[in-house]
Amino acid sequence: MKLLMAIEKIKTNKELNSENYYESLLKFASSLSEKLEIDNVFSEKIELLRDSRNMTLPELLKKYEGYSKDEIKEILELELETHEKMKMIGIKASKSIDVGVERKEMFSEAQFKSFKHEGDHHYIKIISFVVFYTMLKLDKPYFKSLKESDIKDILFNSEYYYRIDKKIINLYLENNKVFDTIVKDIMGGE
Amino acid sequence: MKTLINRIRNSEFLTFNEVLRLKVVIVTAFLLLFVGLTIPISALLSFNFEFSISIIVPIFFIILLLVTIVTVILNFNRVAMHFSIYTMIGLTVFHVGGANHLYGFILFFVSLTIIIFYQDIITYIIYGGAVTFYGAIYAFQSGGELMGILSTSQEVSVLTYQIMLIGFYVIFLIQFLLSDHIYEKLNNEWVRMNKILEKYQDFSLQHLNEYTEKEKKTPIYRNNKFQQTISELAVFLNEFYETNGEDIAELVEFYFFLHTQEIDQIIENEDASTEAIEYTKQLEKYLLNKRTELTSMLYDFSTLFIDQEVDFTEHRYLYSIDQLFTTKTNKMLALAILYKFLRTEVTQFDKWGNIGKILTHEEITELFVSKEFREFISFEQVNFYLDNQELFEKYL
Repeated sequence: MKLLMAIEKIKTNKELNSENYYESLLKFASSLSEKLEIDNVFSEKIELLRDSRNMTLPELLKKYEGYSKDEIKEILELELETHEKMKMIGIKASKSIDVGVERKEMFSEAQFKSFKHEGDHHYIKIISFVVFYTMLKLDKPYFKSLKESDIKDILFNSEYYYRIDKKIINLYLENNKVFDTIVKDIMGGE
Repeated sequence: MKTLINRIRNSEFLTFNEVLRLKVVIVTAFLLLFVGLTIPISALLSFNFEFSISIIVPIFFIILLLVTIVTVILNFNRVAMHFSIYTMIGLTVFHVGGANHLYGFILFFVSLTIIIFYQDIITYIIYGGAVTFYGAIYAFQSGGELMGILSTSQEVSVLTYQIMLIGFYVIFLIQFLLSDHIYEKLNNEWVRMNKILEKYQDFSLQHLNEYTEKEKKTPIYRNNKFQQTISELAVFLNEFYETNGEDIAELVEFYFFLHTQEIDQIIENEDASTEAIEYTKQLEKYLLNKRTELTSMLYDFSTLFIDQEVDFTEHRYLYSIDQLFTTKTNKMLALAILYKFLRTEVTQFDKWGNIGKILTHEEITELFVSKEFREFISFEQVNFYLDNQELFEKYL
């Protein structure tokens, strides 16, 4: 989800504007309090949220004396610019539409992503791995290129070792310098 | 043999299909040994050289085993599983007709063990049930032979044998039902989580496509140098398999060609060769211009490098407003902010496949009342929302 948020920011190049939220929230809170015939207990918290964008926790504690430190910390979780929780809830909630699971999907091979699917020709296993490897060597908007030593280290020490055909990964580990040279010779870079 | 042992050692990393294949291979190896050691002797000794028995029975089992082996080779592992079970049931039926009744009776347990080994509840209920039923009848009919001349109370002995067999079946049936329920629940959650992650990745990919288009950049799969790199690397790696590098170089070209094509049209094209269709199906998983296994794994990989929170709070993976906030006012504000987020931010694909749609009030209401949404808001909050939804719609 954090990757999605980062990529979205790269594309839109703008931050979420929480001021727009607070204006609407104040009107909503006022009408709600009127309807429920209660005091407007929301407005102070909304003001606190507004202030939190420019004030430190000690400053907030000083200004809003009626709240303890823990209470303020909890309220701050509602802030959209300085905290991520509500944004993450919103993103996850918006992507939870029509996510049904059928029984046959539980046992589907498609659930297991790898470069060594049973029944695939060894050409496919080779091509898929070298595309993956080369992509790791390149700069992408969301992820910078990795050094050869880092790639080798991760592929050897992580679950990715088991996602790649054993013969292919071992050939890579034995010949990674050749891989590195081929990519640098053609694509350039250090 | 070395490959088989390696596969068994690393079986925790195999898919369901691969595990099933491995199980069928093990059972088939056992059956081959069993048939090889017992059928020739039984056919010759127990049935007095009757042609139909001594010739047809071995041929029948050889055919069953051949079908099992061929279906495994063709990767029809489920069909192979059924044939391996038929072979074992056939062997049991054959041997219970022989001279040694106790030996025949033990084979009912062996059959059940093989069926249990496959860990499939439906298979166990059907085949296991049939084997147990037949075994119970067999024990009833052949009680005397089973116990032999030392038996003093035949009824008790027959009943003992029947209870042993039925008890064995029932115990494993209970174990299946319990584990299947837990297993299904865990798998359900895992598949659902995977699907949500794939949705994030769908959106990430679309954001990147729109970004590439906006910045007037060339997608990486159209970059000549990138294509050349893939070709060189593939040919280099393939040299450890075969000397001829032309075929794989041609396939790399085909791989990049697929990025410009509608995959479904190629697969459904009657003029396309079988080889081209097969390679298309296999390569589709690794295309770079859509959300595929390859792009998913790239995103997964890159998340290893995303800065994580330093403090791992207990609420890190909690998304329920009801549990995250303690006071009613905070919960109400959180609900209003969530509504506002869904009503304001672009979170959906539009009808052209771009990220450009905002949820309507009606769609949000539908979401709020849905069962899946209990992960985020409680019944109490849904009721509060439904009672005041005109205010939500008007002000947020």
